[in-house]
Amino acid sequence: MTKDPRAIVSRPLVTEKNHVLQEEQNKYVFEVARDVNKLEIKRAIEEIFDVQVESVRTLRMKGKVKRLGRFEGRRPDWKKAIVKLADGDIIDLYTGT
Amino acid sequence: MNYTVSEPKPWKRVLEIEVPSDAIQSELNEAYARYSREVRLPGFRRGRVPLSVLKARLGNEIRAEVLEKKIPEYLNSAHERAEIKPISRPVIEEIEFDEGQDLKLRASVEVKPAIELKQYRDLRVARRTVNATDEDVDERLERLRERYASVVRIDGEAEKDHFIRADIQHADASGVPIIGRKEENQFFQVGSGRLGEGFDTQLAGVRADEDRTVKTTLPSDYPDEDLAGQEACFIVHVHEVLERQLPEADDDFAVDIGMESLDALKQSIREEIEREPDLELRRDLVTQIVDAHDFEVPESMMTAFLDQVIADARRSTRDQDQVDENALRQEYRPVANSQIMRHLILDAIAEHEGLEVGEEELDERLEAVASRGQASVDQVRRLFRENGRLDRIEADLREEKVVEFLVEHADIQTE
Repeated sequence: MTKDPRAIVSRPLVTEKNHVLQEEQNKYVFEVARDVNKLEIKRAIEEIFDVQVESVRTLRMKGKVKRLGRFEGRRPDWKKAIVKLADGDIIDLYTGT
Repeated sequence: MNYTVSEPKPWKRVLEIEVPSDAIQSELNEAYARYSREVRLPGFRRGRVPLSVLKARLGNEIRAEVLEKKIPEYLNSAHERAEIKPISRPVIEEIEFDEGQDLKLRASVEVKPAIELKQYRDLRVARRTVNATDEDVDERLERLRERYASVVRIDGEAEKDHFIRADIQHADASGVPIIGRKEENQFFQVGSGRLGEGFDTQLAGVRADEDRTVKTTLPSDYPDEDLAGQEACFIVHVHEVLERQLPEADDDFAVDIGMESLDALKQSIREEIEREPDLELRRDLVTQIVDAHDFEVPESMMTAFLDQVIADARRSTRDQDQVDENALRQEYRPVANSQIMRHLILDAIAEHEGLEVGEEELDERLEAVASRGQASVDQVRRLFRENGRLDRIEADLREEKVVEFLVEHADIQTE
């Protein structure tokens, strides 16, 4: 069963650091579902943005510990994917093309 | 900046403006720079937001802000260069702009129409001669008394011309009341025949708190068409019988309406009568001139005039729903048209003849206002300047001067 690409990739992450990656290495960073592998991410990105993906690296991020007074809680863990695109391909993160 | 002006109406100018892209671009760059210093976006430290991110996230807002600031400036300088004096706010009809492209703009604005003045000197007008006789004065006094009449309750029987306040219950021909057809607290005058021939004459002689059954034929123009011209029967319960009372024409009455004594009142009535031919003369003269002209008045002046009419109507009626805006607008359009024409023509004459209102004349008028309102001239001046009345007063004075000028140069025939 193939997963819905939009269920695999949940959102792009736009930060100063990621912007530098994007500018210098044509790498885009996304939050993705925790149970997907690199191949699935690659296919999903290629389908959603109509680009050629060269490589995918993933990281499992630990959810932050947050306190509310004396109660301690945790944000859920999540998975980050750094996607390198083929030369010349770009993604406009604001219009989704 | 390039512009072209077209003139679709004598009172309307349409400006098409083209601003080269680099003039705007420098403004835009400045705005981008300012925002990139100030703005905080999640994921970025302040001042570190890259231009591409800024444009993507806030570009539309920033461009709108720059245009909102710059467009009025472009319009103003275009007005100045084209020597257009707007009398209305510019209406922007079209904006075409993409970053890196020229800004194209179409805006329309209203101006005072150029008026081709017809003859206004040596106009022939008639002036009535009057000699206010004692009878004339008494007649006006009588009318004044009627205007200040009051209605008082009386104990006796109702006679012709008395007023009755009563509940009217409709009934069928045999006298059985019809449910739901009762009008409470109606006023009518005995003998006026409003509810059919003989209706209120049959009420002659009733007293307060009396019931009386009245048979009548409703008039053929009765509002309810099914009933018009039919036999009808009413049970009338009279609440009170009222009589109109005129105030006595004496010193007390004179004081009540703001004069010092009856003699002073009579004197002022006499003066008023004697002033009338002069007022009529002025009115005729101006009407004559306005009638000789024909031009379209600016739509914004028309709208402003009609808005004022509606506001006045709203203020004077308690029941807001009674003001039928569209009907009023329709009804007052011709009035507004001639009033605005009058204003524009007199203005044009003033300009043509170089009639101006001097500082002293304005002061004089302000002094008159000040003494009435028990404030100092300076206070009045400040107040009027703030609420914009000062311009109005000046305009009024100027119009008065024009009218006086017209009178001086008129060919007056005494009748």
